[in-house]
Amino acid sequence: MIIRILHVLSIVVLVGSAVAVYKVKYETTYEAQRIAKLRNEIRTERERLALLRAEWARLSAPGRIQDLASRHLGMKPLEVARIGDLSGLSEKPPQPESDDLIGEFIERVAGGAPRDPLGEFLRSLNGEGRPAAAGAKP
Amino acid sequence: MSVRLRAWLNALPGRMFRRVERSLRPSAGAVTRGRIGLLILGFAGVYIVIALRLVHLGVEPESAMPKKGGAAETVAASRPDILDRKGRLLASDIKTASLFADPRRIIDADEATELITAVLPDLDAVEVRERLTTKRSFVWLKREITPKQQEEIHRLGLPGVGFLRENRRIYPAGPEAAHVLGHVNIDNAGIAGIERWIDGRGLAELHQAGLASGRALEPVELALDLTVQHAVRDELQTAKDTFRAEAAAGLVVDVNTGEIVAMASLPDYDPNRPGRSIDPKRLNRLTTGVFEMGSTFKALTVAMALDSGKINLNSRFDATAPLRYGNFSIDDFHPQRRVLSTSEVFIHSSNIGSARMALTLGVDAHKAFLKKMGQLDRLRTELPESAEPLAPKNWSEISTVTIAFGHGLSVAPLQSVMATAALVNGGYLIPPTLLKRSEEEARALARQVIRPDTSDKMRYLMRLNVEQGTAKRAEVEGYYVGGKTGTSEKVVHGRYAKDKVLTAFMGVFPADMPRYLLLVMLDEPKATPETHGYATSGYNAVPAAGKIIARIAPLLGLKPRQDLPTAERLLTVRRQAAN
Repeated sequence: MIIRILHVLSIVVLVGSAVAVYKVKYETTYEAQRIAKLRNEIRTERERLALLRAEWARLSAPGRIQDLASRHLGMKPLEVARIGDLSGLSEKPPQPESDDLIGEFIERVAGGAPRDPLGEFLRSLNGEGRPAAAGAKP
Repeated sequence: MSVRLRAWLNALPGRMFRRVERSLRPSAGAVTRGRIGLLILGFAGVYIVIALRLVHLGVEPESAMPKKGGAAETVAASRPDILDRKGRLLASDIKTASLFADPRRIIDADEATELITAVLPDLDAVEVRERLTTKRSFVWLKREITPKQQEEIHRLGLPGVGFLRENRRIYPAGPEAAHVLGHVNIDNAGIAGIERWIDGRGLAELHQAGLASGRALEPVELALDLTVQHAVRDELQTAKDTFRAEAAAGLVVDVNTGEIVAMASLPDYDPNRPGRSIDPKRLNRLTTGVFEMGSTFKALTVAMALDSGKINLNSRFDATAPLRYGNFSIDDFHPQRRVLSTSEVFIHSSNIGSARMALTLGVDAHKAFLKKMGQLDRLRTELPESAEPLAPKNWSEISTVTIAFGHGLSVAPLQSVMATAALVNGGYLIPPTLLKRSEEEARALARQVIRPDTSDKMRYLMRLNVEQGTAKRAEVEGYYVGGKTGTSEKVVHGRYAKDKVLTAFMGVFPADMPRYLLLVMLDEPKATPETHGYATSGYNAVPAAGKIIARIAPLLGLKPRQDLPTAERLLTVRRQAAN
């Protein structure tokens, strides 16, 4: 009796292991194919990369850039006299005290002019002001 | 049944030892049992082997993976990329398709020929037919066809015709660094320049071992700077055209490391189409040609004199009359007709003075010094092409006299650059290289050939020459150029020809702390109205060098400086520093 159970058991184990082996084998084949495919893809990408790098090197070759620049940009080669560094610059100008730069500018330019030219003129007609001094300092 | 099994199991160890005994007295039952036992053992063994193999396969990853297309890719060897010192691409491989045929599988050679030549019109129909009718199993039809042509031939659906993917070498910068890079043949084997060096370094062996496929190859980094190389080549081309010179060559080396930052020799060729490289005119003049360097060689004579200790900067040399030596009469190009000091001999480029200087020291000392400076032996770099200097077989006093001012000894220009670099960098002779090299590595290779204070004096003289002497036109504001000019008459039919000259300028910048040495050479420049009818170095090679320095110094990362000392001050400052 025990022997029969043993037989049945071993057959079940046999079938089970066969299935397992088949599955492993199938998965291996699948993975191997995937590896091959990825390898192939990597190779193609690398080739494209090499191609693009070569293309970039060709497009950015100094001879080509110089040719294009002289033809289209109207620029000149750098002159040594134009190279400088920060120490070559003059001191930073002092910061203006207020933010109202335009107002200050008007103040500076028109500062000497009368505030109320018409009024002063009228007052001068009435003999109240001194038109001669109107243009002087406020 | 179970009882029997148990008995059998119990008796199993004994059974094994009793095998011999049983074979002597066999009984039917025992034989059967024994056979069954053997079978069990056998099967167990097989399963153990399978299990071990499984474990082995699991541990060792993809060892037996078939490489798809492995053979098809190694037809034209893959090569490492070549980069410049800042990582810009100078040479690379791209994949192209090549057309081949298996003539045994071609059904109708005539038809195949007709169809293929229709797609590839530049193929010779007769030759294709001939190849298709051979008995071999593999013939090339055309190497490196375009993807479009590949597509068209594929559509023809011819049996026995196929494509192989091959590596093709391309040089994106074209002729820019042709002589440095060299080129490859159709099988991607290097046949010139650095490409050849790469092969010599063991790439060929790697290929034979099948290890060099794909990307395992490290890129080769050169000392060359592509932008500097371009600037030098561009300015040389301008100078060559302006002065209608036969050829022009330019070389920039880092005096502290011996790295060759730029090397151009015109005319050159496009390594993508190397067919024209065979033309002897297009050889690299800087390494494969030897020249009488003319007055630039006087720097060596003066350095030798100063280094000997017998002569100082104020020593006097009689240049009142031409120096007569046997049948020869040595005269100056710009005769001063007076007694000259060492400095004056240098800045007026006096032949008489330098000849007298060399004679003071004697033939043997002169020869020994030039030997020490590496001027008498072939200079080898990574480039496979090199030339042996041409020295006189019997070195007499007259040889010393002429060699003192750069005639009678022909050296490769690179060689004389190496020696001049040693004169200004503190006295270290460093073999030049095309590969990147650090200052530490250079110091390990360097050999002290002159004293540091002699080097200081040489720098002073070179600077003085730009301030007051023959090289005024090389001055670039802010870069403190120093240098020595040279104009040598070329030998035509065994005689020196007055109208055919080789002009050169050897410039160092900045002269107070040298970083780079520039050599500019023009072969047979012609006089132009701007040069007042002169074709000497000061009117062509020197201004060209000035333009090159103005252009490359910013590229090399040198900042222009202000308030630079005069040459005189340079010497006194040095002396004070030394004290």
